[in-house]
Amino acid sequence: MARVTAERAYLLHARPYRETSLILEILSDNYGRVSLVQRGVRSGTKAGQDIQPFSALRVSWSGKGEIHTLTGVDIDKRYPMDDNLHKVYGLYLNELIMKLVPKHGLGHELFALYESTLEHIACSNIEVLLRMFELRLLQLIGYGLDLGHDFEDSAPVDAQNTYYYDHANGGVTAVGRVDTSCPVSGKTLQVLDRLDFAEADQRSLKEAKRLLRNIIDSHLHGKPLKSRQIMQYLYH
Amino acid sequence: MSGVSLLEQLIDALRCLPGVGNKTAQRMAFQLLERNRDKALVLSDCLRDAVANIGHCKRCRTLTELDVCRICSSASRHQEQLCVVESPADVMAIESNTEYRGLYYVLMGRLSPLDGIGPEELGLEKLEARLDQEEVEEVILATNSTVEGEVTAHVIGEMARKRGIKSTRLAQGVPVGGELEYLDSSTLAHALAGRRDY
Repeated sequence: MARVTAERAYLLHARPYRETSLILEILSDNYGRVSLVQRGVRSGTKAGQDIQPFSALRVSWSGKGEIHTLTGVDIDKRYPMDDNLHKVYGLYLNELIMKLVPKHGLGHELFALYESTLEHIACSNIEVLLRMFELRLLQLIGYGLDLGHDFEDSAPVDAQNTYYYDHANGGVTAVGRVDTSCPVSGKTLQVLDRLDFAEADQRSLKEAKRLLRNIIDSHLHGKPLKSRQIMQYLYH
Repeated sequence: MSGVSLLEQLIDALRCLPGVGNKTAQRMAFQLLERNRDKALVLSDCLRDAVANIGHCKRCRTLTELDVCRICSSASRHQEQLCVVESPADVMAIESNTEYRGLYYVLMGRLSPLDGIGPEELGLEKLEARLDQEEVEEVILATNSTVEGEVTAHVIGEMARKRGIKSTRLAQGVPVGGELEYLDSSTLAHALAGRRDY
């Protein structure tokens, strides 16, 4: 990866580096998550300061090693994210990617998922959109979930039954010998398994949220999600 | 005793300042030692006093050597206006460039999940307590116009709304002396959306 030109990308996070530089964490179309150093941006001049998350970018970089050097950036399309609440959700997507996806892992599929999720933030049922993102992200990073079958006897989940998620097996079972703190109805599991929320009622949405939060937390090994804390703070 | 001379230690210490590299630190050290020994002593006294005595204001959290800073304790400031900013530098900028006569609250940062800063780390409950206890009528959201700054403004705006307090956000638009042709597209869009009667 000596030189990459006009790669489609989104900024996930920028943090100050040395006196006048920034380290940018971007999600690119073909190279996954990449770290770039952008030099000379914070010297008080205006150039480059207006790159913000959620805008579609064209990014060029060069160099070898862990952190590459940004050589150019253009804004393809600014996101009309006028509602600041949407930015909270956007930061949640960014935090999930930064904490769950390894560098250089996952190319186009994750990029396409992220882009389409951003595009729909303003106009869909946000709870459904976030659940879909979480499920697809878990699939992409290899924590594929089988929520359609009881892992003990491989029987399809029954809408009338209650199930429990087992982290060790990455699946659900009706037998309550696993951690029973997070019960979930068969109906909700069917929704999640089919990725079809059209029939989902409020209870299913709540259960799905709690289940996915549980699963994501187990993959974060105790690292808290600050953007989730912001959402909880807003709704308390 | 380490092998590093006092002069080298001084040069190294000066490099902790922003914008100061090795060469500049050398020039500063020589200037202080060769030509300006008196001022060097004043500088060292000031530094020592400042670090020992300056803390955060109990009310607004800006930097001050007093328990409650001069702005917070001034009787002539409008007690019903509270301007929320990210840093003490923002207080200074508003004080020296505007006619604002209300009070401040300094967050000392902004909500930034990927830097590990959530509502707890930012100490938002202190601001909540202040809104609950004092007669604030307007919260002016003067956080930066970055994604993190906007999110912070949104959260504090909601905090005010829940308490029936009016919140306002700094206007965004064409800078003084700016030419439309060279304006970045989102600033221009904000400027147009936020146009006023004329």
